Amino acid sequence: MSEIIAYGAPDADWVCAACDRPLAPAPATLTYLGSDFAVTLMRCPDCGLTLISEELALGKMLRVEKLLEDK
Amino acid sequence: MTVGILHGSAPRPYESGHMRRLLGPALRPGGLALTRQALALCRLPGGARVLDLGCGPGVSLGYLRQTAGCRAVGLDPSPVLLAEAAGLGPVLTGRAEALPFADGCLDAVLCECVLSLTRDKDAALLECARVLTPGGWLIISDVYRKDGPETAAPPASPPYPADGCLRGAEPLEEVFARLTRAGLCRSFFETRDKDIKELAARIVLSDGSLEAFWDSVSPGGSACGGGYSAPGRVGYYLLIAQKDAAR
Repeated sequence: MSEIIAYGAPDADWVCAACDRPLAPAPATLTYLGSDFAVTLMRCPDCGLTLISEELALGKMLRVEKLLEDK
Repeated sequence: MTVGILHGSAPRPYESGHMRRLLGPALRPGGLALTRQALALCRLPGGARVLDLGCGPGVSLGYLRQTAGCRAVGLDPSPVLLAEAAGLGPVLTGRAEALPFADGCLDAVLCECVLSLTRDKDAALLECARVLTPGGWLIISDVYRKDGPETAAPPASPPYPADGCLRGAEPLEEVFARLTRAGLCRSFFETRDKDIKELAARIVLSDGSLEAFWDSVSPGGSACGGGYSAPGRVGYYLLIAQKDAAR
């Protein structure tokens, strides 16, 4: 199954503070309650730090958590 | 015969690339893994005659013919999806309520995420029973409603139509009663709620909400979910039934 573009447009403007490199889309796996989701998130090409912005954490990811928990 | 299982008019959401990216090539929760599990339970012999009812692009049809060694045929109302499926086996255009097959000529009917889309479920199940040999298998995987029959169905408020698969979902008791009326005996059943939850989660991660997804694949059309955005109220199941050998 194809990967899901999970990040939002504002995330594309982030720069890694440690490496001073623009983040780039990269494959990642989100795991929650025994379910794995192949997604694309923004990541620093040098140090590999992956961005999960507040918007993503409190938006899509929170909605997915509630959905999987049947809330 | 050109009438369809899906009763909505164009556009057909199952033909959209976005729908396929999120649902996977099989276009339903559980994917081919669920099909493999069901076929293993039935232990169909090589050369078994199988109908893939609502075959879509033919993922199960291809598996039946190439891996399971069955003499399988697909049936679907969508010319677009049938054109794909035709590369994997013989296909027909038709409807579940009027199967173009003789009585008792099939060893199994695969009915994956299709029953919920039929307007006359009793007629569709009677047709499945009719074309099966005595002791033949009906394999159903589909959505069901967790709320009881006393609860009103999801509202069919515009722009969403009343004939999407989630709107066609029924409580399990109703599904079981329909099978009995058609002369089909349940031999295996299990809920697969995780499959539909994972699909809903994929949709939310991609599109932000289920409503946004329905709008993107079928704005004002016959989307699968038809705006029904309460996944906790629906589940998914795998059910295998056999035609009463006495019929």
